[in-house]
Amino acid sequence: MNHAELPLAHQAVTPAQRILEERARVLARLPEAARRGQETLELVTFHLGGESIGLPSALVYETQPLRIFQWASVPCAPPFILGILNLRGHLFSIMDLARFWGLPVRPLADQAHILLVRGGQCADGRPMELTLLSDDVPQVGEIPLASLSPPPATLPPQVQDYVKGITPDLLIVLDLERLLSDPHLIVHEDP
Amino acid sequence: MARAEAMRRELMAIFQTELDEHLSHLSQEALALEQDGDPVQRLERINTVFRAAHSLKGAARAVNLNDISQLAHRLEDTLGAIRKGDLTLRPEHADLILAAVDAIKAAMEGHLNGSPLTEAQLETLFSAPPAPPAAPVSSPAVAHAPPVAVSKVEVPPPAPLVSIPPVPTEATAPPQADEAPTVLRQTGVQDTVRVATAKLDGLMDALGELLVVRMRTDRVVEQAQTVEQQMRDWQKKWRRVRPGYQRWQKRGGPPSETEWAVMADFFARHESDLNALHFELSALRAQLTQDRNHLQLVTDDLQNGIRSTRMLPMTTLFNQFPRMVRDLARERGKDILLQLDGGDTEIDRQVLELSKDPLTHLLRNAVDHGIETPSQRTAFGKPPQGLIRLSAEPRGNHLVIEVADDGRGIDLDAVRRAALHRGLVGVQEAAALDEEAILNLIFHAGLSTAPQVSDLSGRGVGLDVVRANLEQLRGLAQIVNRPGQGVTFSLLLPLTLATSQVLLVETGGQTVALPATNVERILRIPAQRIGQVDGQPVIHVEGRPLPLLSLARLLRWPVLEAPVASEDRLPVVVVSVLDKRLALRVDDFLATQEVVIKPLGRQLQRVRNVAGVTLLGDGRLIPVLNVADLIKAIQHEPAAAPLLVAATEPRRIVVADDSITTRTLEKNILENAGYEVRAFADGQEVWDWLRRDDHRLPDAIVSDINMPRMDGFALAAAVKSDPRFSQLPVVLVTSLDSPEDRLQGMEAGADAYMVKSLFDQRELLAVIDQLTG
Amino acid sequence: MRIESVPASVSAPAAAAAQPVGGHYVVFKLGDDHYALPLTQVARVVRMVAVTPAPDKPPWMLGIIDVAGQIAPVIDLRRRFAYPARPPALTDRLLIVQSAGQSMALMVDEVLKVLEPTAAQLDAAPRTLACSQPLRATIREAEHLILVLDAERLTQVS
Repeated sequence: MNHAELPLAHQAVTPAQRILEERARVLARLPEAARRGQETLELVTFHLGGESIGLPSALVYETQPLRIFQWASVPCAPPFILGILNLRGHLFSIMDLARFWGLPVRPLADQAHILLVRGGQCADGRPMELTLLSDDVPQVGEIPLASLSPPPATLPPQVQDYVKGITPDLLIVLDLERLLSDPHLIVHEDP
Repeated sequence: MARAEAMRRELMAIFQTELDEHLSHLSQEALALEQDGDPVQRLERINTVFRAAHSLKGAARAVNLNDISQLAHRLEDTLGAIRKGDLTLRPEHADLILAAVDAIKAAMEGHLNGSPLTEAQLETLFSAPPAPPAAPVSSPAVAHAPPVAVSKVEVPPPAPLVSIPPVPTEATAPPQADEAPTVLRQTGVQDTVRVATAKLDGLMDALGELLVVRMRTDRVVEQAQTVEQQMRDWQKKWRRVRPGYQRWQKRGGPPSETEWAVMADFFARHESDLNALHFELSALRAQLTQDRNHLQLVTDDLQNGIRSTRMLPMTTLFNQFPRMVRDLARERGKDILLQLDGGDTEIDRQVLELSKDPLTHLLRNAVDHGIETPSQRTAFGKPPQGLIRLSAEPRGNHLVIEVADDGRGIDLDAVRRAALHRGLVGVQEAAALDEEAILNLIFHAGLSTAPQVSDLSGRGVGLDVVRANLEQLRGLAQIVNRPGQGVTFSLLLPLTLATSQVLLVETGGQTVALPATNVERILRIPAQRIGQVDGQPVIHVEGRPLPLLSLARLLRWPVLEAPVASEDRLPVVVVSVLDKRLALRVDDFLATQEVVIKPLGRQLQRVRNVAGVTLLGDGRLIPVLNVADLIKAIQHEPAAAPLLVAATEPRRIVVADDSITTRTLEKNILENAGYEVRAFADGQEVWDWLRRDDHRLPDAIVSDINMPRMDGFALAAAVKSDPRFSQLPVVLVTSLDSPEDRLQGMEAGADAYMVKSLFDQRELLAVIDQLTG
Repeated sequence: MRIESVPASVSAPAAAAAQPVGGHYVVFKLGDDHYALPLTQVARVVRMVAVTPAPDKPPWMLGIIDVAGQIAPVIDLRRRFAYPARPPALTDRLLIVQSAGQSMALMVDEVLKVLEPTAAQLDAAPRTLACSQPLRATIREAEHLILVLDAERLTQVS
């Protein structure tokens, strides 16, 4: 224990006292939305081909920089499959939602990350699991549920299908459960 | 309590393995007794059987299975009597032993099902006379257990709520009256394995090595801690110096005496600290490198060792068949000898298990439909005893199992009629079927050529089971039919399912793996040996043309294989699936390797041309290709349709162009397509060379139009006007494209006129092929 | 080690006792003694903050703080358990405890670890201690006896 920290109460305003007060302020602080008493949604947000995307964080199990993986392209796979990667002995496909939606081709970003998501249902009843490509470092945040508005008609229909809503600052919040249940996601090519 | 139960279970498992071994031994000896005529040999065999029965008795007692022990005892008594008495041995003795084997099996099954056989049941199964001291066993009347007993084995119905199923469910199904005895269908492969001590010793050795490495890791951790401590010490020193340093930095100007003294001291120690750190780190790295290398060796050993414990000798399966064939042959009134070869060959347990049903069906088929009755055989001039040969032989990473009989062979017309009758093929289709196609039909469900429905092969389940199991094993079947002389079924099975051998190749800058099963050969082909058919490159392998395709292009990689100069050799992989073959151009062969093939994850359930992915030792993920898909893919391309054999002598083309680039490009294209090329810089050079007679005439001239000295029009006109050369095709290639030029070219006698802007390789090749063909 | 010292005849129960009983405990220190609270009752552990004095409070209550909008009383466990009193220090910790729908903050000297004791280690509190005592159980460790507190009883005046 440090001597400088000991006698607090007897001094008017010591540095220690200031620290304690600052800590008290931080402790009292609330998530912005919660302070207004609203129901909130915890999201993992990232950028994809110039769009801001938000996913319910409950279905996002892990985010990692793509560059730490030795990943491989899969020949003859559809363009929205960037490749396949090995995450601690399990193989997951890397899906580029931007290409899935037919957005323009863009180079792979240095900061590209992957998000391991799990949810929905495959034909065999097991949940779908795959990794989604992000162009930057994904962030965790919270938004008030009430701030979501229905997607504008300007969104391409293939995107609209999976959108839960849009925030005032144009974050596209996806219905991940629905996306992961979409049979179009599954690659099953007959020879 | 729980431990006693666990102990009992373990003992039972061991006993079960031993029991199977003894019973299999007993059956073998009994069958041999039947075949062997030499009395000395026979007595020796009786002795062996006696010993086996004796051991079995002891073992059964040890696990408290008194009924089995009693059965063994009765068998032992009877055999003992035979052994002591100076008797002539008879085939009935074999029946006696076999009946005992069946009874013991039934009793064991009763225990496993939780409902042991009653005394009375045991009595009906096997009742040997209570050991007559010197019984007149030579009398034919003493046939202790008539063969009928075998097929009437009554197995008690299984207890309804058996919760531990150590035996496969099919063995516990209630037997049908007309079915073969249930005991015959008991699987020979148990959940426990007996492993040769030598193999275990090898594993223990490897384990010992691993323990050494583990102990060394402790040291590595210590070393790492030292490094960490050194770093911390350094930080501590720096923290002491830092305030003074920062003060001086903020203030600027020269440091004060004391500040300087403190910093100088720090710097002085800084060097020795770093040196010490460097020393420790190097030692650490050396240690880790050594451990890594060591681990590599040990894990390789362990992998091989563990894999070999999964392997079982083929005899484990083969030994079940003599009895089956014998009983079946008797029932059918046939005399058949089953010859077993290559039983020592080892094969993966899973493969062994899955090949059991196919072999059972093939053997039943041979007994039922293949081998004729003794009288029929005599009438055909064959020996009355039929022969079925079951053999196993390793071939590379595969095992070839053959079931060959010397029976009547497959009646192709009968199969054709049956297929027609069952609606598998139409009338016209049936007539057009060749032998191979008809033979393939017999693998269809429900198709049987049996003249009468027997209780075995005629039941509608038959060779389709063979096909289904083979597909599961990634194996292949082949039939050789010799009408009147027999049939040979060959099954090609992988030795193991756990890992596969692949060939790693580089293509379009990427590494991919081809399953070694599909790789027929790898070649480096001189570029000029590549011919072409219908504008499609082909190579000749064993005199047959094979389409040559770029693997990178088939896989739609963004980058294709690098072009090669005509004198270079192209790396080519010839792949095949059954009789379909294809040559793939790659950039390089890298290595063959034993790998585990993994699926592509939940999203990628099936990707065309890709069978899976494998992880290499360095962590790289490599796609493993599906060769069947690749071959199918090119079949859809019309250009790869029926191939004609190209001329053996390479055709010679003369190329004229004043641009060295164009000249080289054209030369390469043509040479890659298998032509011999002579290039010249202008028309005059060509014309001079043509008129010399120290060479044979070229097959075509490909010429630019705008060239110094003699242009393309002049060259074409000169060639066409000279009767010696007038038959020689001339192709004019130019960047000019005006109707007048075209007209002028045609007037000059050119056979084809190509514009460079349209110029692509395939078009040029197609034109030349047309003109020279 | 512990299992080996148990006589062989009772080895089966001993093996069962070695199993964790499923509960996690937050272990902390007051003076030289070790205490614990069930992890389920501890919402957060934060560093000491400034405390707003409250009027008319028991002597062992330091005051109140604002935890994300919720007001929680701060209990000085040292005083509550009659250790020599001292003013709060920057290194002190607050355990934000949820109990009976209420939040409160317990000031402790140091938070040591989260522990999952085995059944053999966990004993119910001796019955001779009155039910008003906030002691719920004890956890035996090699060098310490850890006293498991019942948060609900901490605010009851004894």
